Amino acid sequence: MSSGFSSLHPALTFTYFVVIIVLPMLFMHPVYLSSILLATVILNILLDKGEGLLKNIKFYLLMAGVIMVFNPLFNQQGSTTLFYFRDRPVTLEASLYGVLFALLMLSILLAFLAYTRVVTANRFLFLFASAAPKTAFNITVVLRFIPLMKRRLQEITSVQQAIGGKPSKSTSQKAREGMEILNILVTWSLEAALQTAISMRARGYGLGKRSSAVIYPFENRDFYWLVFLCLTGGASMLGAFLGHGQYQVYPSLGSFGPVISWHYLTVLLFLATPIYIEGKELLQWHFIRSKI
Amino acid sequence: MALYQIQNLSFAYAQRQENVLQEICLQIDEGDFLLVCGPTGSGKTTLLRLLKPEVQPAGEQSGSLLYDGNLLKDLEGRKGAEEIAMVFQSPDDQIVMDTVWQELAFAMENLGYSPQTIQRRMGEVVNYFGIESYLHKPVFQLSGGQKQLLNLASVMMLRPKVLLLDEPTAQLDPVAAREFLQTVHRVNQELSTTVIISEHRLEEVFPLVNGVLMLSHGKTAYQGPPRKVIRQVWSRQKDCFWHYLPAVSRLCLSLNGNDVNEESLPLTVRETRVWAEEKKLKKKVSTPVGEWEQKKELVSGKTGSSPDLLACRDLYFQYGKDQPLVLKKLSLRLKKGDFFAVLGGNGSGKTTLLKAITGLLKPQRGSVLWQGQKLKNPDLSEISSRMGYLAQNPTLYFSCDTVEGQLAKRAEELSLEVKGERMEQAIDLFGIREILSKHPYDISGGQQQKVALALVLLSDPELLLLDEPTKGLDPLWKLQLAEMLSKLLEQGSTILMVSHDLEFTARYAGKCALLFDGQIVAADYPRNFFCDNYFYTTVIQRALGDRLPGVIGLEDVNLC
Repeated sequence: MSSGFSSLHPALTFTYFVVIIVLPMLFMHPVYLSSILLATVILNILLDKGEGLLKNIKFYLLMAGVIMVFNPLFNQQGSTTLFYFRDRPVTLEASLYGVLFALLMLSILLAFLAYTRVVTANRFLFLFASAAPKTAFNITVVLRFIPLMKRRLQEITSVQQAIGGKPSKSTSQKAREGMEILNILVTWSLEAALQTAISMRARGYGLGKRSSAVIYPFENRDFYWLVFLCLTGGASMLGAFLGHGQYQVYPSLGSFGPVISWHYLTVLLFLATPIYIEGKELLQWHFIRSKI
Repeated sequence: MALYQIQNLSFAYAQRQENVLQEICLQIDEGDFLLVCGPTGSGKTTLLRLLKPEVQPAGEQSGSLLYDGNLLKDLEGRKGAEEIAMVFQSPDDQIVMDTVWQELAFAMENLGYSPQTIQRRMGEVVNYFGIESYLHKPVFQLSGGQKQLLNLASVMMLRPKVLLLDEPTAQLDPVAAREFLQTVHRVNQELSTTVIISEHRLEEVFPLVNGVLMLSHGKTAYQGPPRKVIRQVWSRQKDCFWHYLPAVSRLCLSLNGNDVNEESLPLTVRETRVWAEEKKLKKKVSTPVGEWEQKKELVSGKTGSSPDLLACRDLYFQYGKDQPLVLKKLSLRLKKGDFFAVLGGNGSGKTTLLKAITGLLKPQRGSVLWQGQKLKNPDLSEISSRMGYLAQNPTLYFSCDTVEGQLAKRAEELSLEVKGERMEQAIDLFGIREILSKHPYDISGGQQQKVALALVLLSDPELLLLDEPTKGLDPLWKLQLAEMLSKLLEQGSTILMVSHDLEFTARYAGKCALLFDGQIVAADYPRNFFCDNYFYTTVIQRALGDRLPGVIGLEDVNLC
């Protein structure tokens, strides 16, 4: 789909995701990290109604849980001991650090999930095709090959099943059968690749420098958004180096201090950009429909 | 001006002695539509590939090959790629990119055109070939016909002067093939693109072309305008090329060949009807009455003395929860010794039906009965000893380096007691002794199919399931296939075939049925079936059905 946030120039969306994947690593602050996580969750929901999120949620929760449990068990830094586990102190600080680390991992994973939705292979290639056209082309062909092989494998397996053989099969027989299916797959694929190569040559592949037909025009609004993202994103990262968004965990928990600062607001503005664009479009459609 | 001038062209593959092509002389003018035909292995593909520098096979060439007044081998690379386009047989293998859109752009990107030019041409081409609706789809979601149309559109992006088509419709169903050929015809007529096509589906191609070249063992057998060639072939009737001619022409020539002059020789159904009208062709044929009379009761009937070998009862199948039903309350009965053909369009569920019968797919509801016994929760290996399933793509069966090794391995797997004997039987039955030492990928499509069939039959199944066995076969191979099938029937096998091939079914099947909308909507003896149909019937029946009731094929006419 290329509407909403995805319809921006790939350079912008790519930049946005690079920054949002870097940001959690710069902030070790519960409020900042929660905000980033919340933003990525909302973005995922807006992008595909949360389909991708639901599909993988078990894995995400499991991973977060493991981090939250194991960090305090293995890390004994911190001054406030909560209780002893097998003669090892479990500290409040290490527990909180585990939570923060889980938040960090979750934000990065969810940001990446949204990335795959927005910056598709096509857009990625477009960004790098001018720098390395051959490599970009090879990546496309290889990417197509994986699902192609999968479909071929299915076809071979079903035929081999139908042709059958002995009823009760030992493990070694099954292994041999598997090898055979692989053998057929490779032979078939090589044969097909030969034909593909001929068809490529027939259409002038390798005659000269390749061009790319894909154009994502850089529009005016791309320019405005680029300025906006650069300013807010840059300020967010700069702020991190100036000491904003840090929260002292070790050796003992620091004071919270005033959370609402110019820096936090800047980060929020940056995070909210895609949500604003997606949300606006959603409301527009909703509005138009209710008018009709 | 002549586009190609070919003088005494001979060709032998590298490190081979015998010539694949011998002394071919040919002149092709701009706007010509040339059909190259002949049995498999007669050098059609080699000839076509010699005409395009980038895809020329390696080997020894003699004679002269001029393109546009100059030697073809001096043609500049870029000009060669742009002016001479080629579409190959397999719709899948020649596609390079992931989406339709990218595939269309591929050729122009190779030659470094600017994005604006590419977009503009794509706009034109997409409109011309009518592929707007799937422009942004991934290629694997397209049907075979759409893929082949995409391959054509993709080479047309470069605005070629010559279009070389190497059996482009061999893998397509009849409807898609007709559509593809009509599009090629349109390109030829509207853009005056020169077309050179090699084909087995000659019924549809003959009326479109203005030149025919028939090759036999690399030599020119016949050459000239279509009607002239047909006359020549007829004058030497015993020739194998007789089977390559359109059915209506053969019909007309065999009824009164001496009276037919070249201009009035019919190539299409319409021309045949005009000709029949002039000749006052009378109802001469009496159909076998017994067959004509007994009807129905093939599918749902309660009567019938012999028990069913296989029965499908109210099968329902869908591929996913939200997917449409592919089989809807499908019922089918098969008696021992039947040759039953299920006809139907693309996507009508023919292959699904076969897979449901073999147990590869499990129907949601309904049951498959084997000799009255329910095959519930079927054990695949048990089924496979009773049924042999031949898939569309024979190469899926090959994993060894030689045909013989493949047969031996299969015999081994089946742990046959009389291994050698069974193998010898199969080799003799299919006449594959000469190719035993060859690699399964090096033999022709027809031979591959024979070997695959031999493999399937080694387990001596009682029921043989064939998925489109005539796909991509040339007319002579079809005759051979029919011969083999009739031998099998004599030996007591039962055959269930799904097919698109109306002529083949009409000629050889014992019973046939139409699969439509997930159900068997008509099941009958072929003669009844095809005579009752209006669109979905054989060429001969469409041409002369009203004059000669009961006639569905050439053989019926020869009777009288």
